[in-house]
Formats: sequence, structure tokens, C-alpha cells
Amino acid sequence: MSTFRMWEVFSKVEDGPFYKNQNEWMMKSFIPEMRRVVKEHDIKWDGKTIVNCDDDLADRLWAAAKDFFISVGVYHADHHRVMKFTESEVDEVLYTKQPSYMVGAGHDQRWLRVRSVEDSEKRPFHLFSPDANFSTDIHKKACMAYLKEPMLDGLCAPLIEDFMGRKATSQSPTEVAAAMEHAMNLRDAQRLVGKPDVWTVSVGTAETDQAQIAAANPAWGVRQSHLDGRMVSILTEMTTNDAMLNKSLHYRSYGNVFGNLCGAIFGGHAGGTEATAVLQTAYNIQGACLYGSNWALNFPFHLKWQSTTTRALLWIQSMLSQAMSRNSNLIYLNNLFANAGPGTDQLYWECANHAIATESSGGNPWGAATCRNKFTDHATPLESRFYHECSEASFKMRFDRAKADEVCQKIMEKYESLIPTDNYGKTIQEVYDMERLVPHQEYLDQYYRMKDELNKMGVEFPY
Amino acid sequence: MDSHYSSFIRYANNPIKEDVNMSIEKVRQLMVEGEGESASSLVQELIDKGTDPHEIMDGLTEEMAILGEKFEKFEVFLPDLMVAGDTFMQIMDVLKEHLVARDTDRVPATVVIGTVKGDYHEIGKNIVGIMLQANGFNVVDLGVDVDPVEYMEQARKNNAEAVGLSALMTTTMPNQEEFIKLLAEAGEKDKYLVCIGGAPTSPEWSERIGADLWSFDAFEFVEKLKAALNR
Repeated sequence: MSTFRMWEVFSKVEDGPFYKNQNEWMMKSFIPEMRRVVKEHDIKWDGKTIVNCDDDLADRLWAAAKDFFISVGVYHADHHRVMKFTESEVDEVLYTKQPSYMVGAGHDQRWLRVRSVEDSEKRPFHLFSPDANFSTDIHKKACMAYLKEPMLDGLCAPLIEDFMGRKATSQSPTEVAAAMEHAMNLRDAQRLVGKPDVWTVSVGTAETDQAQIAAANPAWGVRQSHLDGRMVSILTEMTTNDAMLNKSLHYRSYGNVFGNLCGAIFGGHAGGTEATAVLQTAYNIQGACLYGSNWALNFPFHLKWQSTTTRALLWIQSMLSQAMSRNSNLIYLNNLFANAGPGTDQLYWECANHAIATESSGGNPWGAATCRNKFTDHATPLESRFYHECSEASFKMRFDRAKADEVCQKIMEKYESLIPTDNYGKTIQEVYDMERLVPHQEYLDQYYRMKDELNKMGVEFPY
Repeated sequence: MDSHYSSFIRYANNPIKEDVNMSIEKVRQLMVEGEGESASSLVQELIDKGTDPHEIMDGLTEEMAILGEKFEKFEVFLPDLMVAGDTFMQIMDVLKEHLVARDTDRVPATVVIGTVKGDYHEIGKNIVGIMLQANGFNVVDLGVDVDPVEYMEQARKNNAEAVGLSALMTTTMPNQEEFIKLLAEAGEKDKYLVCIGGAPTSPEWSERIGADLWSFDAFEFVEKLKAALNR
């Protein structure tokens, strides 16, 4: 089911099983099948572990996810039919998937690839991303501030809030224009900081298919081929629609190395920790089969807190990483959503834990999103720098999973009780000198202090 | 006194009543397990034997509320609520023709809910729907990608007391504001309690667009709505 099979995939919607709505499909197929695979494949969490050390459990999770995807398929919300894939089709996709891509160009070229569990050779791919809205007047500067980061291998730029004083609204001209402005700002910012060919995942401001297509222009906007990445979502849960398929068609015809954006909801339709791990792993198979995506961005998140840094969610990230690294060629990244905001110690603890929990499991870091993605301008490159440096430290120290779990347990003690609090911190304008695009000394001091704290726990930073 | 002993004492004092209680307890258990057919048969049997259908209904409503509380603590999850809710509706098919309004009954408040235009995320909205039903509200769920005009027409048609608009993307939040503007222009702003929610929304956004009620999540929403509507 490589790219050339996309029309065979699209046609699955014509004759798949009919369910009048998603709820009927959930009740008759999704929920009972999820309960079955969790039981049959004996997926269990002890309620404490953060970094899994059980290879057999990781392999069972992979088997459960594949079983689930094949038995349930994908619900197409516009056609009310289920797009189902046979085991043979899934195996073909998994076998033919490329395990690595060279992305970006010139001196900004990097390998994006599958890493193994406790990988001692392939360093993580450091994708910086605030996953947040920024005010239009500082958008280009914010892009530059992120692009300045030395560890950066790729960037998913901040989103634009408004266009010409009007709030960017989905499916309207303001969204299309904001998406174009976002792409233009990003290109300018890249040139101005000397990273013209860095790989960017563009453009988050474009939620709809038409806005994505409008922002694609090699001269001023999203570039073709390996120069830029794009994303297409899986709707909650295991659902798609024509707009998503349109995006995947456009990305493929434009030649981008594009990803599947997928986040199973802990406490949602799948249920608890184990089922959410199965669903999230299945999403990676779904993206490869349905959209032909080249990689996946995993953000399983908590229904109540909308974060990815609780104990259960970190275990899920660790599990799905190991399940895929041990059993497939699927490239994936692990998305951090923190509860706390810039300038808070809590945010640093959450960043460290997500980075360390995923690195030794084979993951690639994507972050750092803050404040449960709630507030405009509430993210800075400083916490992203710290997040990626923690991941790099874990790699350079060759942390094995047992050591990673030991450190993660200590870090968890620092913030677990704070998760329910609204600790949203500061805006980028408060933390940064927005002319020179450097952090104010007070916040830089905090960053160094937090590195010292991690160092006392046994984390040695490369510099 | 342990629970077995107290059950025995209650049974010794009123064996028929205790049988009914045990049977209603069984119906509640079957509802939680999603055994719709068995639950419906047992309910029919109870009614044939003269059990007050309101007593059965009260038991089921109480069980749904307990499930909701457990869900808030993540002791059970959405599929458990959905399965129980689906079975509840199956049981209601048997029960409803026997339910006659009591003097003490209040007409349930109707809430129209949906995810705003351009937005296809519905899990939060679905949880709100289930939690509202569990708390005795009449829910009209318009689904996803709902046009502001559709909200207004359905609110009018169903004599709604509240309208809930969910938005999960920053680019669809303006459609919450659009609905409030439409209501104001139609002179109906005070007719409905306008409630908004969704991950990117905040109290500040709610105040800015003139919504009546914002909540952090589905659980808080139900509590705030009950207080606002005096339910």
C-alpha cells in the first residue's frame, strides 16, 4: 500500500461496512474489539512504571495494535462507512515503509529516522515546536527566536492568531490568509537567522485542506519534496473524513515528507491506560496505511488535563515507542504537552521527564508545548532548549531503560501533585527580550538552576 | 454491623420489598455490564409483578450518577459510560410507557449541544451529553460542524434552556462568538444560557465574547449548569 496505491485506499470508502454514525460504530465495533485485544494480548500496567523494561509486553502491545487496526478499520465520517485493511495489505505497508529520510537541504540537512530501543548510534531528531498561537505582531520574531536554537533539527512554527486584526477563523478567508502569512514569515525568519533550508513542518495555522493547499508555494510558502514536512490528522478516534484524505492527496502529489498527527485520549473512547496505549500504537499503523504518511507525531493526552506528562501518559509514550521500534520501520516522534507554563520550575520538570522517558525507548522529541495549549504567546524557545538538551543528555549518557525509569520516578515526585493546578507562567514577551530575541537574565538563571537540579539526579548535559 | 447482616435484617423485616430492591440492584448491575436484553426482561418482569416503575427509574438514574462520579475520578472510563448509557436507553424503551408524571417531578431542562462549524472534534461534547443525561437533562445533540443558525433553530424548536458550544481549535472558537452575535441580533440573548467549552477556550475568552458559562471540563460544566438553572 505504498503511495501508488492511494486510489485503492480511497476507494475502500465505497463498499466498507455502513454505520449510521460514529457512535453506532463505537458501540458495535470499536469498544468491544478494544476490550477483546487488551484482554487477549494481556496488556497490563502496574500503575507505577514510567519507562517500560519488559520487551515481551512491548511486543504484545504491537500485536494488539495491529490486531485492533485490522479488526476495526477506520470510520469515514462523511460516508458513514468503515475503511478496512486486510492483514496482507498492512504487512505490505509495514514492509515497504522507508525507515529514514534526509530532510531539509544544504547545511540544514538532517536524517529523520527510526531509532532502536536504547539506541547508542542514532541521535534523536530534535523537532522544536511550541504548538501554540502567537500574536501576529510577534510571529516572525518568535519564529526567529526558535530557529536560533543550536540543537534544532526541524521546526513546527507557532501559529498565527489573527489576520489584519481579524481572528483567523476556520474555513474562512482569514484562515487561508493567515496560513499564507505564517508560511511567508517562516521563510523570512529562516533566511534572517541563517538557516534557509531547515526542515519545517508547515503550516499549523492551516487547519483545513484548502488553507494547506493555498500555503503551498515553492517561491514564498511551503516548499516541495523533502524540504518541508506537513501533517494530516486522525480524528478521534480512528476516524477520518474527505478533508483529511484531500490533505494526504495534496501532500503526496506535492512530494512532502509528511506525517500523521495522532493523539489517543486517555480516558476517552479507548478507556484506560492499557487501551490508550493500544490505540495510540494502532494510530501509527493507520497513518501509514490510510494516508501513506512517512512518519507520525504521537500525542496521547489526558482527557482532563490535556497534557502528556502524567505517569500513565509517559508509560504509554514509552510503550508505544518500544512497540514500534522493536517491530516496525515506522518513523515516529513523541509530542510533549506540558501542564505548566514558561518561567515555572514545574514546566522544566515536565520537559525533563518527557524527554528522558521517551529517548531510551527509541523516541524522537517534539516540543515543547506548554499550558495545556491554552494561551496565546505562552511558550518560549528556552523550555524547548531544555527539553531537547535533556533528550540529548539521555542519548549521550546511553541511558538504559531501567536507569531512565529511576530518574523519571525522581522527577515525577517533583511535579505529580502539581498537575491539577493552573500554573500557566509567563508570556514570551515577559521571558524574552523581543528585540534581541534572547531570554532575560532572570529566566536564563532559572534554566541553569534547573540544569543543575537535573545534574544532581544523574543527568549530565553535553555542554 | 456488616452489610450481609444488615441485608438479612432488612430482608427479615420486609421480604417482598427486599426482593424488589435486590431485583432493581440486579437491573443496575446489568445496565453497567451492558446486558440490555437481560436488563429489559427483568424490568418487564418487575413491572408485571407490580413494582413502581419510578422506583426502577430512580435506581437507574442513581447508578448513572455514580458512574459519572467514578468517571470524574478516572475509576471508570468513557466506554463504561457509553455502554451503560446505551443500555439505559434500551431499558427506557420498556419503562417509558409505564412512567406517569408524579406531582414532584420537574420537567427536565433541555440543553442543545454541538461542536461548532468547521470543527470535527466531538469527544468532549459527547462526554457532556452523557453526563447531562446521567443528571436528568434532556439533551439534543447536533453533532459536529454545526452552523450557528442551526444551533438557534434547534434551540427554538426544542424550547431549550441552554445551548452548549464546543470548540477544540483556535480557528473555530470565533464561531462560538458568532452564535452569540446572532442571538443578540435576534433579541434572544437572554432566552438561553449560552455555555462554551473546549481545550483552547478560557474564562477570559468566555467573558470577551459574552458567554454565560464557561467550564474547564464536562464535570464542572454539569455542576455549573445545574447551579445556573437551579436544578
